[in-house]
Amino acid sequence: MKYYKFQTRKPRRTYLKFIFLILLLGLAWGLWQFGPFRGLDTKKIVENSVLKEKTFERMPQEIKNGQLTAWLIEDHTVPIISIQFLFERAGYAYDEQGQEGRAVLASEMMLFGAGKNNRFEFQELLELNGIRLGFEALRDDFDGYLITPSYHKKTAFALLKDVLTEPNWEDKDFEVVKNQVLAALKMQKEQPEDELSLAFNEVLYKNHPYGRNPLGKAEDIKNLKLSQVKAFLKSNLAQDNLMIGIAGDITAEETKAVLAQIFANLNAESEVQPLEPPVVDFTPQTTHIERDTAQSIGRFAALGAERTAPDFYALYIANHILGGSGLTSRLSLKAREDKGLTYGIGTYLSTSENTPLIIGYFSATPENYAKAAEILRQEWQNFAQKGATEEELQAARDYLLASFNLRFSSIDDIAQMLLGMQKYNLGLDFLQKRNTYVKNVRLKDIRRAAKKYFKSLPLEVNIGIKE
Amino acid sequence: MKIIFKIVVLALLFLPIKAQAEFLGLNEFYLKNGLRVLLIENHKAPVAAQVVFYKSGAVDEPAFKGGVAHLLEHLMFRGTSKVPDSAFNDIMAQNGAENNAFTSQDMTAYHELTDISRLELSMALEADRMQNLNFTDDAFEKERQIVFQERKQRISNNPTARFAEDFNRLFWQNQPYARPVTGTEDEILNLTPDDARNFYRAHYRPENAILVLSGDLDLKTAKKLAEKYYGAVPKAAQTLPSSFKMPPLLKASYRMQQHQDEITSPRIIIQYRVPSLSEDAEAAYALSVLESYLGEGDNAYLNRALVQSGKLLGIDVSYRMFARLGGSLTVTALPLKDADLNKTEAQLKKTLEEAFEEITPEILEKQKTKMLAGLVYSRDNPLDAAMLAGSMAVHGLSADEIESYAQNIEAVDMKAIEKAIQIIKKSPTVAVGLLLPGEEQ
Repeated sequence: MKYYKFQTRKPRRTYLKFIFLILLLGLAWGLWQFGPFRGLDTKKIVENSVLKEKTFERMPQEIKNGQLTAWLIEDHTVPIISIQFLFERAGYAYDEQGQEGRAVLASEMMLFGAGKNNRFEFQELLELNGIRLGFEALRDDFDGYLITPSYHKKTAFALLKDVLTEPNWEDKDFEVVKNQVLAALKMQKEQPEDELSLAFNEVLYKNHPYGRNPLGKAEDIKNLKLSQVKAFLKSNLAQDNLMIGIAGDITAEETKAVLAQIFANLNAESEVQPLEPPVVDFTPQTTHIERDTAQSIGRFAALGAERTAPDFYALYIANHILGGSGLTSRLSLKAREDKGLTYGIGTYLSTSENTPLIIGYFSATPENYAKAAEILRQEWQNFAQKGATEEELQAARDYLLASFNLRFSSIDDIAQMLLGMQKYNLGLDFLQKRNTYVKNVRLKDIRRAAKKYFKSLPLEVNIGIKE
Repeated sequence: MKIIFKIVVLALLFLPIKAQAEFLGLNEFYLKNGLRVLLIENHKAPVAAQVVFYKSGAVDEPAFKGGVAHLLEHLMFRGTSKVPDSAFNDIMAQNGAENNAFTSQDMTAYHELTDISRLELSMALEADRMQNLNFTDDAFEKERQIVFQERKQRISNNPTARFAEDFNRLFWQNQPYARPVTGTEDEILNLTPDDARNFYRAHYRPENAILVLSGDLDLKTAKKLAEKYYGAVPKAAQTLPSSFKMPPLLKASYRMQQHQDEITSPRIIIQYRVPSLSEDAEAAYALSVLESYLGEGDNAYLNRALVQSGKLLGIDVSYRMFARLGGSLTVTALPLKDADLNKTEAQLKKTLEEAFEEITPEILEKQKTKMLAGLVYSRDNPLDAAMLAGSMAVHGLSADEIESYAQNIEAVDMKAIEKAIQIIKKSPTVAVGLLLPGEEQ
């Protein structure tokens, strides 16, 4: 009886259920569409955005005057001009033996008077006109910048010209600067981070000049004479090792004249000899520095790719996925988001000439350190074996394409970009081509790059308490 | 007619000076829910920055809940009812945004720099987490660990930061400024998810926030978009919790001496309690001119008298002009190797006296020119401009007041300077701190 009833009623109940289900679905759909439970449809927001995608379409101009070349992007939005320049092979690694610290002392002395102005008068002119001028002795290059309100450009250009060719330095200032650099040398290891940096360079480059202390040697600094540092300008800052990027409130015609006005007095040729590239042993060993710190810090290194290598963009995206994208990288998701082991973990590419590197880093309390280091190694190896997924590649590509315009946020950024394009031989049309480079990277390219560059584990240098 | 023409030509001649006087080119409007919006137009590149400032920071934390404002800032990236878990970061990353946040004593701010086509997206996300934050207890636990590690990395691992924290505690006594923004380690470990939720409900609301948009958009679009995304964010039901009143700072002078093993060169720090902008605007502009006269640039008085002459290795002068609960003026000196610190300190104080005596109307005018000469740079980078405008607005300045920054500096005369000097000399609270190398050295 029961069975029969069930049999007969079954179709009706199914029918009612069906209607009920449809109603329920309709209600859910309505709520989803209009109600408070719907997630944000991010794609739709971007698609329907009233502010549409635009490209920063400007093609840089190459301005030549004699032996001098500058790349220029004109922009009159704000009345400022930025000139970024560098002298190749004039960095601290190129200091002669026994004169380690010469390039750094030169960079520190640059603003201590030039032309007819003594250091006080010179500084006064910079400050009264809001002109920013600075120099830095990096490892390979000697970098400089001049940023000026365009209504003070005459003064600014004249000052830069004097600085490069007519130093007006005094012995007593030189002694003060020497003492400051010596004091900086002494304080260099106060922060564990800085002690680690020094050790990291030594482990990688040993006796090669790249392994030097970036500030120089105390003994050499004490012995250096003002005349030797002055001579640095003449011998190391020349027209043939100079690169210039200019952006802002200045025309092409003006730029041409300015090139001659500022830089034509430099010697035609620099006297610096190229360095032998260092031979780095990337055997994955660990060097430990014992120090009583609240957190241990680790730094890792493996061989990377030259900026112009055919698989550079594949490695660039591979690095982005593994550790380069900040909080969303594989390393950060595992070690920071999932486990809370560290405040920051990641990897980046260093494209300095002679030794391109993939560098990894993190810091963690001593009891967490080994766990985080293990995650870094596992992810590294895993990446070499399996590469990335299509979703990861798509996400990386999306980021790199959508973020490109941010590189033009300030006039300085633009001038820097123009300088970098020259340094790395990227071509005048790089800004127009770059997105195509990114779009062309396929999953198989990433796999190949991952296999090639992440095959061997990185070497490690760390500082902290050994657990 | 001709005369008028001449005047016009003359006016044009002075245009550069006028151009300097324009600061950020701010526009300002309010939504019905009380949200204040600032716009800075800049069409150089197709990018835009969005910064949302909440006028609440570490000083607004309840007693014994140190670090909750900062921990909440982290939790704002841990999911809402519409954008769950860490989706915020994923979405931002896929859309090429540079985004982050910071917490200070006085405020908390969230910023995104994006391609112009993604501005609306970041506005939608920021408006969402202004009202729908919904993190799990599990996410709270993880984020607390990260914050704990952050404190270790930034403070515990840094000898000068440790010293600064202790010195601050001495100077500000029982005032909220005495507490570290991160909270102490114990405080961090004792915070609960509800502590963070309560702070969120009390402070994250449109009438306590300032939205700054900066970049490649115009006023009409800014108004439309602000209304579209933020217009529906409800005002909170309760009134803002009033910050508790602290007993006034004791009139006293303090000395503090601390040895730390990692330190190789000693530091001397002298700090004076002086009014901030919100306490005394006239004094504040004069004090900021004095700060610049004493320590800004290589030719500043103390630099020339002490560093360039080889009597000190370095000097820094910093005036905290923007501070809700009160300003301070700090002079930090790096003595020479093996110097007698008592003598160095005496000399520093003596030189400061001389600096005050030697300021003349001509020097004052020059100093003001120097301060304003670089003002034009503030407009260049949309994110920097937004940060600057927003942090001034947080301290109660209207758009007009922010725009008249240059005029306010120009208006500082000798009378105002002399008054400011007296304020420093008669500062009710003065502290001297010595950071020294480890004892065994």
